[in-house]
Amino acid sequence: MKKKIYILLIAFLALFIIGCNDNNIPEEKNTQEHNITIENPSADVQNDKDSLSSFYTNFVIQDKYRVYRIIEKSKNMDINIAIPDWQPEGDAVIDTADFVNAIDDEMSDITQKRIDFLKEKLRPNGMSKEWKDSKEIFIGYATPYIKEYTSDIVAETVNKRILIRTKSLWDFLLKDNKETINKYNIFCISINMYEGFYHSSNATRLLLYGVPEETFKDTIKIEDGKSVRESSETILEKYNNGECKLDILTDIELTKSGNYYMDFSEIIANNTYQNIILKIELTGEVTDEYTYAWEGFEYKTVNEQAYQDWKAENVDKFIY
Amino acid sequence: MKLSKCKKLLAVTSMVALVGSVTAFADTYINENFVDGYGKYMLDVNSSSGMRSCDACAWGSKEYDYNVKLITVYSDGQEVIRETGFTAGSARITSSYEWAEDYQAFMAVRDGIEIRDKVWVSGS
Repeated sequence: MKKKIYILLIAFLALFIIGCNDNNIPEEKNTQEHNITIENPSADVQNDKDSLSSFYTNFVIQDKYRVYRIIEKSKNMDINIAIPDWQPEGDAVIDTADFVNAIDDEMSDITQKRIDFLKEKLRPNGMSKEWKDSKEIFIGYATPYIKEYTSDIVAETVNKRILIRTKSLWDFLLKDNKETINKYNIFCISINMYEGFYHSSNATRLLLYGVPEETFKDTIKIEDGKSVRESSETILEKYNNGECKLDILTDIELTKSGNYYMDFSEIIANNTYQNIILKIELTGEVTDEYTYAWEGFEYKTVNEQAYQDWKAENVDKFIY
Repeated sequence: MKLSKCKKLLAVTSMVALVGSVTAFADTYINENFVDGYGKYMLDVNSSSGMRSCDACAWGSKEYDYNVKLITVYSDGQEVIRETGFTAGSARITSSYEWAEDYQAFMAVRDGIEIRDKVWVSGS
Protein backbone atom coordinates (compact mmCIF):
# COMPACT_ATOMS: atom_id res chain seq x y z
CA MET A 1 0.00 0.00 0.00
CA LYS A 2 2.75 2.38 1.06
CA LYS A 3 4.64 1.57 -2.13
CA LYS A 4 1.60 2.53 -4.24
CA ILE A 5 1.29 5.83 -2.39
CA TYR A 6 4.99 6.58 -2.99
CA ILE A 7 4.63 5.77 -6.70
CA LEU A 8 1.55 8.01 -6.93
CA LEU A 9 3.37 10.84 -5.14
CA ILE A 10 6.38 10.57 -7.47
CA ALA A 11 4.05 10.52 -10.48
CA PHE A 12 2.26 13.69 -9.25
CA LEU A 13 5.60 15.35 -8.60
CA ALA A 14 6.81 14.50 -12.11
CA LEU A 15 3.58 15.85 -13.64
CA PHE A 16 3.92 19.01 -11.54
CA ILE A 17 7.51 19.60 -12.74
CA ILE A 18 6.47 19.07 -16.38
CA GLY A 19 3.58 21.51 -15.82
CA CYS A 20 5.96 24.14 -14.44
CA ASN A 21 8.24 23.80 -17.46
CA ASP A 22 5.30 24.31 -19.80
CA ASN A 23 4.50 27.61 -18.05
CA ASN A 24 7.91 28.92 -19.01
CA ILE A 25 7.17 28.66 -22.71
CA PRO A 26 6.30 32.17 -23.90
CA GLU A 27 3.09 32.81 -25.81
CA GLU A 28 4.95 34.53 -28.60
CA LYS A 29 8.35 33.29 -29.60
CA ASN A 30 10.33 36.31 -30.70
CA THR A 31 13.80 34.83 -30.63
CA GLN A 32 15.54 34.59 -33.95
CA GLU A 33 18.75 32.80 -34.62
CA HIS A 34 21.58 34.48 -36.42
CA ASN A 35 25.00 33.37 -37.48
CA ILE A 36 26.67 36.51 -36.20
CA THR A 37 29.20 35.98 -33.43
CA ILE A 38 29.77 38.88 -31.11
CA GLU A 39 33.42 39.53 -30.48
CA ASN A 40 35.27 42.38 -28.90
CA PRO A 41 35.81 45.19 -31.37
CA SER A 42 39.31 45.87 -32.64
CA ALA A 43 41.85 47.12 -30.11
CA ASP A 44 42.69 50.32 -31.99
CA VAL A 45 39.33 51.91 -31.26
CA GLN A 46 38.97 50.35 -27.81
CA ASN A 47 41.78 52.48 -26.45
CA ASP A 48 39.99 55.70 -27.32
CA LYS A 49 37.96 56.63 -24.25
CA ASP A 50 35.60 58.78 -26.30
CA SER A 51 34.75 55.98 -28.69
CA LEU A 52 31.52 54.03 -28.58
CA SER A 53 33.46 50.81 -28.16
CA SER A 54 34.85 52.01 -24.84
CA PHE A 55 31.24 51.73 -23.62
CA TYR A 56 29.60 49.00 -25.71
CA THR A 57 31.16 45.63 -26.39
CA ASN A 58 28.12 43.72 -27.67
CA PHE A 59 28.79 44.30 -31.34
CA VAL A 60 30.87 43.09 -34.24
CA ILE A 61 31.81 45.10 -37.31
CA GLN A 62 30.51 43.54 -40.48
CA ASP A 63 30.09 45.02 -43.99
CA LYS A 64 30.60 48.59 -42.70
CA TYR A 65 27.94 48.10 -40.03
CA ARG A 66 28.22 47.72 -36.30
CA VAL A 67 25.97 44.74 -35.64
CA TYR A 68 24.72 44.84 -32.05
CA ARG A 69 23.26 41.82 -30.34
CA ILE A 70 20.38 42.93 -28.13
CA ILE A 71 19.09 40.53 -25.49
CA GLU A 72 16.08 41.10 -23.27
CA LYS A 73 15.09 37.99 -21.40
CA SER A 74 11.73 39.23 -20.06
CA LYS A 75 10.45 39.52 -23.63
CA ASN A 76 12.40 36.46 -24.81
CA MET A 77 14.12 38.76 -27.28
CA ASP A 78 17.48 38.06 -28.87
CA ILE A 79 17.90 40.19 -31.97
CA ASN A 80 20.58 41.92 -34.02
CA ILE A 81 20.47 45.57 -34.98
CA ALA A 82 22.92 46.88 -37.57
CA ILE A 83 23.98 50.53 -37.34
CA PRO A 84 26.21 52.26 -39.91
CA ASP A 85 29.79 52.28 -38.62
CA TRP A 86 30.21 55.99 -39.11
CA GLN A 87 30.82 58.91 -36.76
CA PRO A 88 31.47 62.55 -37.68
CA GLU A 89 35.00 63.79 -37.17
CA GLY A 90 35.72 65.89 -34.12
CA ASP A 91 33.51 65.91 -31.05
CA ALA A 92 31.73 62.81 -29.79
CA VAL A 93 28.06 62.85 -30.82
CA ILE A 94 24.98 60.83 -30.02
CA ASP A 95 24.63 57.47 -31.77
CA THR A 96 21.68 55.16 -32.47
CA ALA A 97 23.51 52.57 -30.33
CA ASP A 98 22.88 54.88 -27.35
CA PHE A 99 19.18 54.10 -27.69
CA VAL A 100 18.93 50.54 -29.00
CA ASN A 101 21.24 49.33 -26.20
CA ALA A 102 18.84 50.81 -23.64
CA ILE A 103 16.60 47.75 -24.03
CA ASP A 104 19.42 45.23 -23.58
CA ASP A 105 19.58 43.57 -20.15
CA GLU A 106 23.34 44.00 -19.81
CA MET A 107 23.82 47.28 -21.66
CA SER A 108 21.01 49.52 -20.34
CA ASP A 109 23.09 50.85 -17.41
CA ILE A 110 26.07 51.37 -19.71
CA THR A 111 23.80 53.34 -22.06
CA GLN A 112 23.02 55.74 -19.22
CA LYS A 113 26.75 56.04 -18.48
CA ARG A 114 27.41 56.91 -22.13
CA ILE A 115 24.60 59.56 -22.07
CA ASP A 116 26.05 60.98 -18.81
CA PHE A 117 29.48 61.00 -20.47
CA LEU A 118 28.11 63.02 -23.40
CA LYS A 119 26.34 65.40 -21.02
CA GLU A 120 29.65 66.10 -19.29
CA LYS A 121 31.67 66.19 -22.51
CA LEU A 122 29.36 68.77 -24.09
CA ARG A 123 28.98 70.92 -20.97
CA PRO A 124 30.45 74.36 -21.72
CA ASN A 125 32.88 75.92 -19.24
CA GLY A 126 31.17 78.03 -16.62
CA MET A 127 28.18 75.70 -16.31
CA SER A 128 27.12 74.25 -12.98
CA LYS A 129 28.27 70.71 -12.21
CA GLU A 130 25.35 70.12 -9.86
CA TRP A 131 23.11 67.23 -10.88
CA LYS A 132 19.98 69.37 -10.66
CA ASP A 133 21.42 72.15 -12.85
CA SER A 134 21.76 70.05 -15.97
CA LYS A 135 19.37 67.82 -17.79
CA GLU A 136 19.18 65.23 -20.53
CA ILE A 137 16.44 65.80 -23.09
CA PHE A 138 15.46 62.75 -25.11
CA ILE A 139 14.40 63.82 -28.58
CA GLY A 140 14.35 60.84 -30.88
CA TYR A 141 15.98 58.24 -33.10
CA ALA A 142 15.04 55.57 -35.60
CA THR A 143 16.09 51.93 -35.50
CA PRO A 144 17.37 50.99 -38.98
CA TYR A 145 15.94 47.95 -40.72
CA ILE A 146 18.61 46.11 -42.68
CA LYS A 147 17.19 42.82 -43.87
CA GLU A 148 20.42 40.82 -43.82
CA TYR A 149 20.97 41.32 -40.10
CA THR A 150 17.75 42.11 -38.33
CA SER A 151 14.39 40.53 -37.60
CA ASP A 152 10.70 41.09 -38.26
CA ILE A 153 10.48 42.85 -34.89
CA VAL A 154 12.74 45.60 -36.21
CA ALA A 155 10.82 45.70 -39.51
CA GLU A 156 7.65 46.47 -37.54
CA THR A 157 9.19 49.55 -35.96
CA VAL A 158 9.89 51.10 -39.36
CA ASN A 159 6.14 51.47 -39.93
CA LYS A 160 5.92 53.61 -36.82
CA ARG A 161 8.90 55.80 -37.64
CA ILE A 162 8.66 59.29 -36.19
CA LEU A 163 10.30 62.10 -38.13
CA ILE A 164 8.96 65.13 -36.23
CA ARG A 165 9.34 65.82 -32.53
CA THR A 166 8.45 68.71 -30.25
CA LYS A 167 9.76 69.25 -26.72
CA SER A 168 9.38 71.83 -23.98
CA LEU A 169 12.89 72.87 -22.99
CA TRP A 170 12.01 74.30 -19.58
CA ASP A 171 10.38 72.42 -16.70
CA PHE A 172 7.06 73.33 -15.18
CA LEU A 173 6.42 72.07 -11.65
CA LEU A 174 4.81 72.85 -8.36
CA LYS A 175 7.49 73.63 -5.81
CA ASP A 176 6.21 74.13 -2.27
CA ASN A 177 2.72 74.35 -3.79
CA LYS A 178 3.74 77.27 -6.06
CA GLU A 179 3.90 77.21 -9.85
CA THR A 180 7.58 77.23 -10.80
CA ILE A 181 9.46 77.30 -14.09
CA ASN A 182 12.90 75.76 -14.09
CA LYS A 183 14.84 77.60 -16.80
CA TYR A 184 18.13 76.49 -18.35
CA ASN A 185 20.57 78.95 -19.95
CA ILE A 186 22.19 76.68 -22.51
CA PHE A 187 20.72 73.97 -24.69
CA CYS A 188 22.95 71.69 -26.75
CA ILE A 189 21.53 69.34 -29.34
CA SER A 190 23.61 66.41 -30.52
CA ILE A 191 22.69 65.23 -34.01
CA ASN A 192 23.82 62.20 -35.97
CA MET A 193 22.44 61.76 -39.50
CA TYR A 194 25.16 59.35 -40.75
CA GLU A 195 25.57 61.51 -43.87
CA GLY A 196 29.08 60.13 -44.49
CA PHE A 197 27.64 56.63 -44.76
CA TYR A 198 24.44 57.25 -46.70
CA HIS A 199 25.72 60.09 -48.89
CA SER A 200 22.16 61.40 -48.81
CA SER A 201 20.89 64.95 -48.64
CA ASN A 202 18.85 64.46 -45.48
CA ALA A 203 18.72 67.36 -43.07
CA THR A 204 17.42 68.22 -39.64
CA ARG A 205 15.13 71.24 -39.58
CA LEU A 206 15.17 72.89 -36.17
CA LEU A 207 12.69 75.50 -34.96
CA LEU A 208 12.59 77.28 -31.61
CA TYR A 209 9.40 78.92 -30.37
CA GLY A 210 9.24 81.37 -27.47
CA VAL A 211 6.09 81.09 -25.33
CA PRO A 212 5.01 84.55 -24.09
CA GLU A 213 3.44 85.05 -20.65
CA GLU A 214 -0.19 85.31 -21.85
CA THR A 215 0.04 82.14 -23.98
CA PHE A 216 1.78 80.35 -21.13
CA LYS A 217 -1.01 81.21 -18.68
CA ASP A 218 -3.58 79.81 -21.10
CA THR A 219 -1.71 76.50 -21.27
CA ILE A 220 -2.02 75.90 -17.52
CA LYS A 221 -4.93 73.68 -16.52
CA ILE A 222 -6.10 72.34 -13.18
CA GLU A 223 -6.13 68.55 -12.80
CA ASP A 224 -7.04 66.97 -9.46
CA GLY A 225 -6.70 70.38 -7.86
CA LYS A 226 -3.15 70.88 -9.12
CA SER A 227 -1.73 72.98 -11.96
CA VAL A 228 -0.42 71.14 -15.00
CA ARG A 229 0.57 72.51 -18.40
CA GLU A 230 -0.53 71.36 -21.82
CA SER A 231 1.85 69.35 -23.96
CA SER A 232 4.10 71.11 -26.45
CA GLU A 233 2.27 69.30 -29.29
CA THR A 234 -1.06 70.78 -28.15
CA ILE A 235 0.41 74.28 -27.87
CA LEU A 236 1.92 74.07 -31.38
CA GLU A 237 -1.36 72.73 -32.75
CA LYS A 238 -3.17 75.73 -31.24
CA TYR A 239 -0.51 78.03 -32.70
CA ASN A 240 -0.94 76.50 -36.16
CA ASN A 241 -4.73 77.01 -35.84
CA GLY A 242 -4.18 80.66 -34.94
CA GLU A 243 -5.48 80.10 -31.39
CA CYS A 244 -2.42 81.32 -29.52
CA LYS A 245 0.67 83.49 -29.97
CA LEU A 246 4.20 82.13 -30.16
CA ASP A 247 7.39 83.79 -31.42
CA ILE A 248 9.68 81.91 -33.78
CA LEU A 249 13.21 82.41 -32.44
CA THR A 250 15.01 80.43 -35.11
CA ASP A 251 14.23 78.23 -38.11
CA ILE A 252 17.36 76.54 -39.37
CA GLU A 253 18.26 73.53 -41.51
CA LEU A 254 21.22 71.48 -40.28
CA THR A 255 22.89 69.33 -42.91
CA LYS A 256 25.86 68.08 -40.89
CA SER A 257 26.01 65.90 -37.81
CA GLY A 258 27.48 67.54 -34.75
CA ASN A 259 26.72 69.35 -31.51
CA TYR A 260 24.88 72.65 -31.77
CA TYR A 261 24.41 75.16 -28.96
CA MET A 262 21.65 77.63 -28.12
CA ASP A 263 21.98 80.40 -25.52
CA PHE A 264 18.82 81.60 -23.74
CA SER A 265 20.59 83.73 -21.11
CA GLU A 266 19.25 87.03 -22.48
CA ILE A 267 15.70 85.67 -22.68
CA ILE A 268 15.96 84.55 -19.04
CA ALA A 269 17.47 87.87 -17.91
CA ASN A 270 14.65 89.84 -19.59
CA ASN A 271 11.97 87.29 -18.63
CA THR A 272 10.78 87.44 -22.23
CA TYR A 273 9.34 83.92 -22.40
CA GLN A 274 8.00 81.38 -19.93
CA ASN A 275 8.90 78.36 -22.03
CA ILE A 276 10.89 77.48 -25.14
CA ILE A 277 9.47 74.84 -27.46
CA LEU A 278 11.77 72.91 -29.75
CA LYS A 279 10.41 71.43 -32.96
CA ILE A 280 12.70 69.17 -34.91
CA GLU A 281 12.05 67.44 -38.22
CA LEU A 282 14.00 65.08 -40.43
CA THR A 283 13.71 66.05 -44.08
CA GLY A 284 14.82 64.31 -47.26
CA GLU A 285 14.65 60.70 -48.38
CA VAL A 286 14.06 58.34 -45.46
CA THR A 287 14.36 54.68 -46.43
CA ASP A 288 13.70 51.70 -44.15
CA GLU A 289 17.45 51.32 -43.68
CA TYR A 290 17.94 54.90 -42.63
CA THR A 291 18.78 55.83 -39.06
CA TYR A 292 19.32 59.09 -37.21
CA ALA A 293 19.73 60.11 -33.57
CA TRP A 294 18.91 63.33 -31.74
CA GLU A 295 19.62 64.05 -28.07
CA GLY A 296 19.57 67.27 -26.04
CA PHE A 297 21.43 68.51 -22.98
CA GLU A 298 20.64 71.57 -20.87
CA TYR A 299 22.83 73.50 -18.46
CA LYS A 300 22.73 76.43 -16.04
CA THR A 301 25.45 79.06 -15.85
CA VAL A 302 27.39 79.60 -12.61
CA ASN A 303 30.52 81.35 -13.89
CA GLU A 304 29.60 83.91 -16.52
CA GLN A 305 33.18 84.90 -17.41
CA ALA A 306 34.31 81.31 -17.87
CA TYR A 307 31.30 80.69 -20.08
CA GLN A 308 31.88 83.82 -22.19
CA ASP A 309 35.52 82.79 -22.74
CA TRP A 310 34.39 79.33 -23.82
CA LYS A 311 31.69 80.77 -26.05
CA ALA A 312 34.19 83.05 -27.80
CA GLU A 313 36.29 80.00 -28.67
CA ASN A 314 33.28 77.98 -29.82
CA VAL A 315 31.13 80.65 -31.44
CA ASP A 316 30.79 78.60 -34.66
CA LYS A 317 28.87 75.94 -32.71
CA PHE A 318 26.07 78.33 -31.75
CA ILE A 319 22.89 78.44 -33.81
CA TYR A 320 21.01 80.75 -31.43
CA MET B 1 14.37 47.16 31.15
CA LYS B 2 10.59 47.47 30.97
CA LEU B 3 10.82 51.22 31.52
CA SER B 4 13.25 51.49 28.60
CA LYS B 5 10.85 49.59 26.33
CA CYS B 6 8.01 51.85 27.42
CA LYS B 7 10.12 54.91 26.58
CA LYS B 8 10.89 53.53 23.11
CA LEU B 9 7.23 52.74 22.55
CA LEU B 10 6.26 56.22 23.68
CA ALA B 11 8.83 57.81 21.35
CA VAL B 12 7.62 55.79 18.35
CA THR B 13 3.97 56.51 19.17
CA SER B 14 4.75 60.23 19.52
CA MET B 15 6.54 60.26 16.17
CA VAL B 16 3.64 58.50 14.43
CA ALA B 17 1.17 60.89 16.08
CA LEU B 18 3.30 63.88 15.06
CA VAL B 19 3.55 62.73 11.45
CA GLY B 20 -0.15 62.05 11.37
CA SER B 21 -1.16 65.31 12.98
CA VAL B 22 0.86 67.69 10.78
CA THR B 23 -0.61 68.34 7.34
CA ALA B 24 1.47 66.90 4.53
CA PHE B 25 3.08 69.58 2.38
CA ALA B 26 3.60 69.20 -1.36
CA ASP B 27 7.34 69.62 -1.85
CA THR B 28 7.44 68.90 -5.56
CA TYR B 29 4.71 67.97 -8.00
CA ILE B 30 5.47 67.27 -11.64
CA ASN B 31 2.77 66.00 -13.97
CA GLU B 32 3.63 66.00 -17.66
CA ASN B 33 2.83 64.20 -20.90
CA PHE B 34 5.20 61.91 -22.71
CA VAL B 35 5.57 63.02 -26.33
CA ASP B 36 3.08 62.17 -29.07
CA GLY B 37 0.38 60.82 -26.75
CA TYR B 38 2.52 58.02 -25.31
CA GLY B 39 1.06 58.59 -21.85
CA LYS B 40 1.95 60.58 -18.76
CA TYR B 41 4.45 60.66 -15.92
CA MET B 42 4.21 62.08 -12.42
CA LEU B 43 6.48 62.72 -9.47
CA ASP B 44 4.77 63.70 -6.24
CA VAL B 45 6.99 64.40 -3.22
CA ASN B 46 5.37 65.41 0.07
CA SER B 47 6.91 66.30 3.38
CA SER B 48 5.73 66.21 6.94
CA SER B 49 7.77 66.90 10.06
CA GLY B 50 11.00 66.66 8.15
CA MET B 51 10.15 63.29 6.61
CA ARG B 52 9.31 62.80 2.92
CA SER B 53 7.14 60.47 0.88
CA CYS B 54 7.27 59.90 -2.85
CA ASP B 55 5.03 58.64 -5.62
CA ALA B 56 6.68 58.17 -9.02
CA CYS B 57 4.66 56.73 -11.87
CA ALA B 58 4.37 56.50 -15.63
CA TRP B 59 1.24 55.27 -17.33
CA GLY B 60 -0.76 55.25 -20.54
CA SER B 61 -1.77 52.52 -22.96
CA LYS B 62 -1.42 48.76 -22.44
CA GLU B 63 0.12 48.69 -25.93
CA TYR B 64 3.24 50.38 -24.52
CA ASP B 65 5.75 49.43 -21.82
CA TYR B 66 6.63 51.83 -19.01
CA ASN B 67 9.64 51.90 -16.71
CA VAL B 68 10.25 53.87 -13.51
CA LYS B 69 13.56 54.06 -11.69
CA LEU B 70 13.65 55.87 -8.35
CA ILE B 71 16.83 56.96 -6.60
CA THR B 72 16.26 57.92 -2.97
CA VAL B 73 18.95 60.00 -1.29
CA TYR B 74 18.67 59.70 2.50
CA SER B 75 19.68 62.22 5.15
CA ASP B 76 22.87 60.23 5.87
CA GLY B 77 23.88 60.42 2.20
CA GLN B 78 22.98 56.81 1.44
CA GLU B 79 21.41 56.18 -1.97
CA VAL B 80 18.90 53.45 -2.71
CA ILE B 81 17.89 52.62 -6.29
CA ARG B 82 14.65 50.85 -7.15
CA GLU B 83 13.44 50.06 -10.68
CA THR B 84 10.27 48.48 -12.04
CA GLY B 85 11.68 47.37 -15.40
CA PHE B 86 9.52 47.79 -18.49
CA THR B 87 5.94 46.71 -17.80
CA ALA B 88 2.82 47.00 -19.96
CA GLY B 89 0.37 49.83 -19.28
CA SER B 90 1.97 51.45 -16.25
CA ALA B 91 4.86 51.45 -13.80
CA ARG B 92 4.91 52.87 -10.30
CA ILE B 93 7.14 53.16 -7.25
CA THR B 94 5.88 54.63 -4.01
CA SER B 95 7.56 55.19 -0.68
CA SER B 96 5.90 56.12 2.59
CA TYR B 97 7.31 58.78 4.92
CA GLU B 98 11.02 58.30 5.50
CA TRP B 99 14.09 60.39 6.31
CA ALA B 100 14.78 61.20 2.65
CA GLU B 101 16.51 64.34 1.39
CA ASP B 102 15.99 64.00 -2.33
CA TYR B 103 14.34 61.82 -4.95
CA GLN B 104 15.52 61.40 -8.55
CA ALA B 105 13.17 59.58 -10.88
CA PHE B 106 13.71 58.20 -14.37
CA MET B 107 10.59 57.50 -16.40
CA ALA B 108 10.48 55.93 -19.85
CA VAL B 109 7.97 54.61 -22.36
CA ARG B 110 8.68 51.99 -25.01
CA ASP B 111 6.70 50.99 -28.09
CA GLY B 112 7.82 47.55 -29.23
CA ILE B 113 11.61 47.71 -29.25
CA GLU B 114 11.87 51.48 -29.57
CA ILE B 115 12.13 53.98 -26.71
CA ARG B 116 9.60 56.74 -27.44
CA ASP B 117 10.36 59.08 -24.57
CA LYS B 118 12.38 59.20 -21.37
CA VAL B 119 12.89 61.83 -18.70
CA TRP B 120 14.75 62.45 -15.47
CA VAL B 121 12.94 64.49 -12.84
CA SER B 122 13.83 65.31 -9.26
CA GLY B 123 12.05 66.39 -6.13
CA SER B 124 13.10 67.47 -2.67
